[in-house]
Amino acid sequence: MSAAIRYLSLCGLLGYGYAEESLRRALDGPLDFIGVDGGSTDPGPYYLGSGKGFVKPLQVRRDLSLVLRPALSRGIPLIIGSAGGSGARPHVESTLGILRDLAREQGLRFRAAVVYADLDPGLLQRALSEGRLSPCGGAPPLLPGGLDGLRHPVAQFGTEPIQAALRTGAEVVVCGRCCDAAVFAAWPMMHGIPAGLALHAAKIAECGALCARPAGANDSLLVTLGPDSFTVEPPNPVRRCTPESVAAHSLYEQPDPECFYEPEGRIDMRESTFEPCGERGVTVRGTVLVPAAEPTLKLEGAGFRGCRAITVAGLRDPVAIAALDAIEAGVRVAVASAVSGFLAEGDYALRFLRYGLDAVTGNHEPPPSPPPREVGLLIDAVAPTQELADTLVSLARSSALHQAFPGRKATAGNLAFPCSPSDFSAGEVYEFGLYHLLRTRGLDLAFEPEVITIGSAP
Amino acid sequence: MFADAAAYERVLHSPRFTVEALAAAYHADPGAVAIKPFARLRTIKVVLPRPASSGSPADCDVYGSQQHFPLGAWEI
Repeated sequence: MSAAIRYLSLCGLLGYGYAEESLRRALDGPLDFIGVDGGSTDPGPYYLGSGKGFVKPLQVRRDLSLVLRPALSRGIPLIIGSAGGSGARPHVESTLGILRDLAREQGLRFRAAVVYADLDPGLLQRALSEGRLSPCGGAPPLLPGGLDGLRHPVAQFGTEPIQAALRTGAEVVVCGRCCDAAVFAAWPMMHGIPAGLALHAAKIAECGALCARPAGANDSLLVTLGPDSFTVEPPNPVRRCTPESVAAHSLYEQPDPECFYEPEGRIDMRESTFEPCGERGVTVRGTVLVPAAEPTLKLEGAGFRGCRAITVAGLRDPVAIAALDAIEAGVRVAVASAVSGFLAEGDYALRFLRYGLDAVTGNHEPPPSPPPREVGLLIDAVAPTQELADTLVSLARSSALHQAFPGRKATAGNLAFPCSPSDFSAGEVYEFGLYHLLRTRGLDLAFEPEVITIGSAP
Repeated sequence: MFADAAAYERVLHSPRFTVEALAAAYHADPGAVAIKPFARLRTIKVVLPRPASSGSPADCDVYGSQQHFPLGAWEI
């Protein structure tokens, strides 16, 4: 029997934080590697499109500052997945910048293997024309021209490029966009752990202590793997895993609780068993990988859709609340007329989101009866430039404030604004223009590690 | 998670709880709606398509976090 592999998932997302105590306790035993996932598409396409992170650099800095020195001094590889959140080049550079700052401040010097996930536009065009792209998760099919103006197209690579990066002997591996599970499955699969177990453990580990109770994406999880089982346990003694809490993790972020898909294939959990291990751990057995018949990678890219401005206000007057449809219609006419000299109606979008009435579930539910005492109104404009969006919201705000409606008694203004200024420029708006699977057979798609030295000689 | 196996079975096999009924309530294509029983945890996962792509100009729930209603108010 091969020796067990033991690793630490630092937290559910780099920057979400973790208890210092968790890291200290985990380091009391041997660790083969420390991994942390940095990425998610959950916050929407803005972050990929804009090149910015959805957690702030100070958060990432804090999480890395505690782990970097102990990992380097003990020779424990540190693997960072989907650096910077969306894992395109600017996101990776942001994380490398933080590592350089920390190296300078802490007097550290180390070798880092960087694996970029960015896709060459020529290759993408070829993939589209060869019919290699198919929509993922309800995305619409790509039309000819659908790749034009796409920002930061990336591939979510799997375990192989991370294994190649680890083989360079680098002390830190910084990945561009990659599969969350690949961060934690690469090492165990390289060292003989069956892929089904390694990937199932990794899928749980990538969320940190989210599988524990109390659940915490902002804390660490220890994973031990052997040839026929793995065990998860939070190092923080205030948390514990139960068979139910660990099994329930497979309800999260996947359509089918009995299986999930990775580039390596389908991970089948129908025969998996979950048993308590000690006071706070859970041992899992029986998960298998059904290898993919056709190798695929998931691609992501952001299409620019304009710039946004918003204003937020409240309504209390029941006559005004009852007349919101009429107020909105009047405002639309007034705005269209005011901008007609410089912006056509089809070139912008204006939304009236009525919190308390129907902003969240829309026409899936009947309007509340009786109507609520107060309604929150968010007016949202998306237009080709920030200046145009700001102008639209300014016009919509002043029109809505003074819009007449049938039965109006109070004329001081229809809206209670909580802020001055009342309007906010919200920046660029994107859409996942590329959210597709790429059939990779026969394509030259190597995500080669680049080895760099971070920190200067003592 | 349902409190007991009887409640789980009652909902899962209720003639009111069907792909067609979910599709009608959410104005969705029935082909894109799925009911996934998870007997291990006496839980049922419902898969619904997004009316608008996450974070796109027309989206109103980026994480899709609050779309368990109207389903959550159904009486079985």
